[in-house]
This record gives sequence, structure tokens and C-alpha cells, in this order.
Amino acid sequence: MDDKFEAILNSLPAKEPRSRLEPYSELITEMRKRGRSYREITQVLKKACGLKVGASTVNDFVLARSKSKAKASLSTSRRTATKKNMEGLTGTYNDTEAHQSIRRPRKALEVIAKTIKALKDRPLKTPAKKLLFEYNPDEPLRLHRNQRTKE
Amino acid sequence: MYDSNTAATAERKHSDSPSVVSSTAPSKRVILTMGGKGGVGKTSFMLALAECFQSHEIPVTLLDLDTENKSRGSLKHYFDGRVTKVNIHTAAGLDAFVDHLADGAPIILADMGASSGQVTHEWFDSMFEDVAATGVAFTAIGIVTPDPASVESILSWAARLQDRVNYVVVENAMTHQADFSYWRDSEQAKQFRTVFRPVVLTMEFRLPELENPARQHGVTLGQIVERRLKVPELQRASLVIRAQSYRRRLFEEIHKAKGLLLP
Repeated sequence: MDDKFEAILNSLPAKEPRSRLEPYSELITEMRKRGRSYREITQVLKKACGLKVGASTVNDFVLARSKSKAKASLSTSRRTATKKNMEGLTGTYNDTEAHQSIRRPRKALEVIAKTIKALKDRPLKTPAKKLLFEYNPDEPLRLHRNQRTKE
Repeated sequence: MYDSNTAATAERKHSDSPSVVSSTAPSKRVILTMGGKGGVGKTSFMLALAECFQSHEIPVTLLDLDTENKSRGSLKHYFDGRVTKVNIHTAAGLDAFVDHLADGAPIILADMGASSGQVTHEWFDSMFEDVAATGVAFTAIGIVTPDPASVESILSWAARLQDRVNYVVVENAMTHQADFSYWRDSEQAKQFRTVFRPVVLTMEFRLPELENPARQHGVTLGQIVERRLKVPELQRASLVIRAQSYRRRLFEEIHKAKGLLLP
């Protein structure tokens, strides 16, 4: 980042937490881990911390935090996966020992490409088997007597 | 042109030509009636089949899937205590086949009800491939009478089941001189026979004075022959001999289709 922008960011005052529950985040998380209900947590916050909040507020707070954590985790894993895929397919990221261990030889890449092509070419569903015998129940049975019967 | 005498050679022809079902030898078999037309004699034939297996000491599992036939006339009526009643109109459909085969039964005799077509066809569409892969073969029994509706019924079933089953067709003479024109001479039935080469058996006309009390009291031909009954109208010597005679000939007919009735 540009030094000028870095200086601006550093000069900004710290942002106040958006939720009144932010200071008690660790306590709430721990209580949830120990199986406490949201109603019980509100009672603890009221008695021990003098904070009066509703159970739904605590619920929203916990959900919002778990979502943001999951998002951060997904983002990290996506970045890692993308990098690994690139390494595996192109073999260009070979600057470290770890990366070198997952480099694939050219022949293996050709096999993978063939497998992918075969999978793409495979029809989605087995084509319907041709019926050996068809019968229309709406049509009457057609009598077809032999010569002897006709006589 | 169809000839009724072809029945005797039908099985041989079947074994000479490539099988229309699976090339691998099955280890178990489900024999089911093609329901659809009621009152054609599906249960009567299944009774004979059950007795035939019994006479050879071959264990079979009897399933009564006829939800319409509540009591008299159903398989359960004749073999109470040995028959499991199954309601096929559930999400699991005919999965009872799989469960009973898993329990060790080599053969299942399943008497389907008159309204079982849709459920059976859907079950075959979704389950057949995987069940057949475990070594289970299927034989569909069609009963034809002089009534063309009975012929239409088995043709409709065959159009859905295709070559996933082997076919045995029983000509049930419900009158003294039964006319099977619609089965023997119609173009559609001829095409069915050409494609699937069913084994054709005959079930001869039975005297009403034997058939009616047997149905009423839920007794089999075997029980009449063994004279273990307390039914006065079925103890006449001539009727006992008649029953023995019908039974013997019916067993001989069944023997013709043994390749499609045993695993």
C-alpha cells in the first residue's frame, strides 16, 4: 500500500465496537460452548455485568460472529486451494520444497486431461432401452385366425 | 400360428435360445402372479404351485399381496398360518420380496391382487436392477381365460415388465369347452409369445360340485385327496378321485415349466 494511505489509516481513531456485547464476546462464546442457553446468558450478563439485553440480541450477536468467522475461514481455504490447483496443473509454482513435492509430471497431467474428457463425454443418463414389446391397451385385440379356423 | 401343443415344447425352445432375462444362474426366485384381472384363477394356480413345491419338500415363502381379497378366496384363506399378508400400497412397495429372500427363502410365491399393477411396475422400475444383481430371478404368472380382458391384462403387464421376468401363461378353462381365441389368435398376444416365448400351461375345467365347496371352505386339492376334512360335500368318493386326478395333471403341467419356477 502507498505510504501516504498507510499514514492516513494509522491516524484514524479506533472504531467503537458496534455491539454492546463486543466486550463480553469471549465470555458469551465460552458460555455457549458450555451449553448455556441464550436466556441463561442474558441472566448472567445482567447479574454479573449489569448489562440488560434480550436473548434474541445475544442470539444475533453469536450468529453474526460465527458467520464472519466462517467467511474468513472460507476465504483462506479458497486462496490455498486456488494456489494448490495452479501448482498442480501448471507446475510453475515450484519455488519451495513443499510446492515441488506436489508437482505432477507431464504424463500424469495428460492422464488427468483424458479422464476429464471421458467424464465430459459420458452421457448424463443411460439411453432408454428399446422396448421389446409394446401394447396399446386402448386398442381392441385384433383376431388373426389361420386358414383352418376360417374354414 | 399358435398351436396349443407348443406348450410341451415351449420350455425346450426357451432353453435352446438365448435367455431373455439374465445370463447368470439365479440363486433365488420370486414367482408372482400378474394381477390386473380379478377372478381368473390366480390364487387357484398359486395354490397348486405351493402344493407342488410342498410335495417335493421344497421350502417356499407364501406372500399374500392381494389387499382387495380380504378373506375367502385369498391365499391366506387356504394356507392360514403359513402366509404373510403384505400391504403393497406403502412407500416400501414390494420390498417384502427382498426381506423374505434375505431371511433365507429360496423361492417366494407372491399372489398379487387385482389392483397391484401400478405399484408392481414402479417397484420394478426402481428396484429390479439392484435386486437382480444379487442373484434373484423373477417369474411372472399370467392367467388367461376365454375373457379377452384377461389377455389384455397380461399384455399390459408384459409391456411394463418387458424382459425383466420370465413368463409362464396358464390357460384356465373356466368352462367345459373354453374358447381361448383372444389369447391364441390375436395379433398382440402372438407378438407377446414371439418376443418373450412364455411357457404355456393348461389348467383344466373343474366340476363346480368340487370347486365351489373347496373355495367356500378354503381347502386345497391335496387336502381333499387326503380326506382330512370335515366337509360332507367333499367326502364323496368320486370327488376325491376327481381331486386326485386334477391335482396329478396340474402337477404334470407345472413340471413343464420347472426351469422357470425353480431358482
